[in-house]
Amino acid sequence: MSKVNINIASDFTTTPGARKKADGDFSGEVFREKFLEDLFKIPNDDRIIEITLDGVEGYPTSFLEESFGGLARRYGKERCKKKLKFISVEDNLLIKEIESYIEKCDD
Amino acid sequence: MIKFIFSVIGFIIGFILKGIFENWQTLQLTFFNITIIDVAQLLITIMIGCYITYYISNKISTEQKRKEIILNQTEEFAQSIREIYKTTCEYIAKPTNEKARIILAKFKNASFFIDAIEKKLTKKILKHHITNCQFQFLSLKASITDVPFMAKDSKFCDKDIANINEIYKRLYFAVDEFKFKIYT
Repeated sequence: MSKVNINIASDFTTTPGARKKADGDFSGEVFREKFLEDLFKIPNDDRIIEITLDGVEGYPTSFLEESFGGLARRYGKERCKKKLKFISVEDNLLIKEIESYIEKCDD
Repeated sequence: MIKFIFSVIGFIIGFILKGIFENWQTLQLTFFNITIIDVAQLLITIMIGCYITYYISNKISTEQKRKEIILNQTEEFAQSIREIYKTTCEYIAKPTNEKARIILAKFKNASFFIDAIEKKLTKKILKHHITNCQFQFLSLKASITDVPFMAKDSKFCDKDIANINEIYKRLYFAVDEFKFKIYT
């Protein structure tokens, strides 16, 4: 099974913004559309998306919820859980936080 | 460890010799009718006794040290939370990008501490308490850093502020309870 690597700090930004494009630069919506959606659009694409979260100043909840919770609302949480793999040496709790947004995407 | 056992054995032999010399006049001759096996048995008993004492006291002191480290990290975590709350109050009064970045960096720092604490826990009851702290911590983060945080014209309404205050209090009490449980 092949992998796609995304490093948020080097590929996107070290200062993630808020939820929507209208809120300013580097929003969760922009990240989701630019990096994640294309990898979910093909129905039988079983590539694993490995996302490195380290090297960023800090993630606002709005950014994380819009990126990953938003993705789960569009493509289903089971598919997200299957395809997404998170890596963080700096902040382990961050992975639990993201997983909770995917899990609670319907709330 | 070996040095300790030999020191204890040396001390005991010295103590016995002192007793013999002090009570030389009153000692019965039969006292010296002991075999090598008797001496070996006595030494083995002393060694086992010393080892068990050493092992237990060492275990108690290691556990005490571990608790102190956990308590120190919990204090650091509580301090980070107080700073987050203070900076959030300033941000609500006058939102700036700089303050928002400080809040996010402090959340990252606090997250490191609570994760480090969790990794050191072995007791189920403490794990249960730290999971509650983590839950309240993530709730506080969500109440502060979700909309309208960092949004254009960022303005927290009274309901948002009341929610932040409520969750902050819950986290504060959860951390206090955890600190208390470390020593019970």
